[in-house]
Amino acid sequence: MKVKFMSVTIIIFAVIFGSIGITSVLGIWKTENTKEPAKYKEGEFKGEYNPADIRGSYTFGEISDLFDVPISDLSKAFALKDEDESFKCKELEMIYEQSALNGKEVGTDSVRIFVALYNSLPITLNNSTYFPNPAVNILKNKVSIKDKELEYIESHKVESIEIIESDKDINSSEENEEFKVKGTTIFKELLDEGIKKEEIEKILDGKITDDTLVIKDYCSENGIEFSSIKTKLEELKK
Amino acid sequence: MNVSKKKKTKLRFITQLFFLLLVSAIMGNKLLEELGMAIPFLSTASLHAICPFGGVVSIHRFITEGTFVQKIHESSFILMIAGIILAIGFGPLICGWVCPFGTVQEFLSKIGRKIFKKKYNNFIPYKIDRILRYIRYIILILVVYNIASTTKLMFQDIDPYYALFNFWTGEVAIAAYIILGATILLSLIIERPWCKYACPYGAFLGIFNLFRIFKIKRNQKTCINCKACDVGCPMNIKVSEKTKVLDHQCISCMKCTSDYICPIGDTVEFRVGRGDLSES
Repeated sequence: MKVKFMSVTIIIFAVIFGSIGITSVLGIWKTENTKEPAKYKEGEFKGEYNPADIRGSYTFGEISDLFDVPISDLSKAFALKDEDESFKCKELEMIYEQSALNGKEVGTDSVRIFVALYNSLPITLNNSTYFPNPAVNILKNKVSIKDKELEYIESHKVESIEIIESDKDINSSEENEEFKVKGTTIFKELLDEGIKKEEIEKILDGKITDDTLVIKDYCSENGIEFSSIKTKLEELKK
Repeated sequence: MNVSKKKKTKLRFITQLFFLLLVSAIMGNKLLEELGMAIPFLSTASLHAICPFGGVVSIHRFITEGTFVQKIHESSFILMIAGIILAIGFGPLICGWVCPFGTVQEFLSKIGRKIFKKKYNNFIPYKIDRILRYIRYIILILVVYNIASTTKLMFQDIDPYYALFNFWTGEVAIAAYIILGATILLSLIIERPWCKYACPYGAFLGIFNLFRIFKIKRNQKTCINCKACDVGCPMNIKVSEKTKVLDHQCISCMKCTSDYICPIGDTVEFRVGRGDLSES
């Protein structure tokens, strides 16, 4: 028996669209996530939802419902200005884009690990995953975590960009009067004020490798006295 | 080629064009959905959701944990099964008739043929080319292993097909753009370069060529050894040296058959059983 072009064409359409049609009728055809994460298959937590299966498309509201993490803690941890239930995990990558460029990725995996540690659930601690400062603080203050986990989150924190921006908003009325370099000011804030990177580097006598670094932290790492350069940096604005 | 043959072969072109336009429309509708202007009755699925290879890379996760790899859904799995059913029966029809990325490469080949004439698709020496064709199996193993161990769809970062249909989203990695660019350029000298040397899904479906039910068969008695079938094959398979094609590279495009390029009727056929073919 041989097949011709017409037969092959019919077979292709029949198999592909037949499969789609039949599975649609049976309710199996799904092109979107069911928002039901995998469960632990064994061990102490068998049957519980596994945070490792949180996807980028999950919203903070869904995670809050599924894993019983208050939306207020989730929003604070990742430095959202408001408690936004519709905020999707994958959007973190855009907010912390600068951080990722510096090799410190804050994204869906950060949420997975945060949720797991928040609920004392087992998870692989990924070395390339980082957490905003408030997430670390929440885990330290609200949950009891093991020394190894504490060491991990302490060594994997980044400055939370949104909180800093919020601070900047709050400070903006003050800034109109006078621009101040504080203990929490990051280099990006200076650059946003229109100060040139070269000018800052001249005062620091060194290169700025990460715009999101807290200036005070940079100083202590490089043996520079913060108070000695603080005024000089403030003067650049004038 | 006579009029009757031309009509028949157009069916493949129409099928390819249909799936290319369908995938493009779905991707466009996804963009419209984000803008709140989606066209009703047209799917807004992601490319991952309608790519059968997503099912292949999810097999391990599905067996061990009952779920899919990130970004992969039930639809990918169902399309993978449909692809396998077609492959068991007729070989990689998905590659030769459906895959929009294969179609794009094939369209580009028409420009290449005009520029390089007979030299087109014959630049790489046969001995080297034969070895290079196995690279896609190395890629298949690496991709499946990597995704199974990380559960992340890392292939997206090097996937030119994803880059082609998502170039406006900002989600495409630079490596994928580079590979897409290289594939487009190479398509002007080699037919279907991605399919031949790098496509892991093509590699997977190619395995079915070894035991598929309907095969390309050549009748030695009537064959005049004009080698038109060899020239017609986009994958450079020497059909004239075989009585049946079991090559892992065959994409079941039927270009070598008597319904297309072979000038002698009932000589190269897509068939099951011996029929009136003499097989030595």
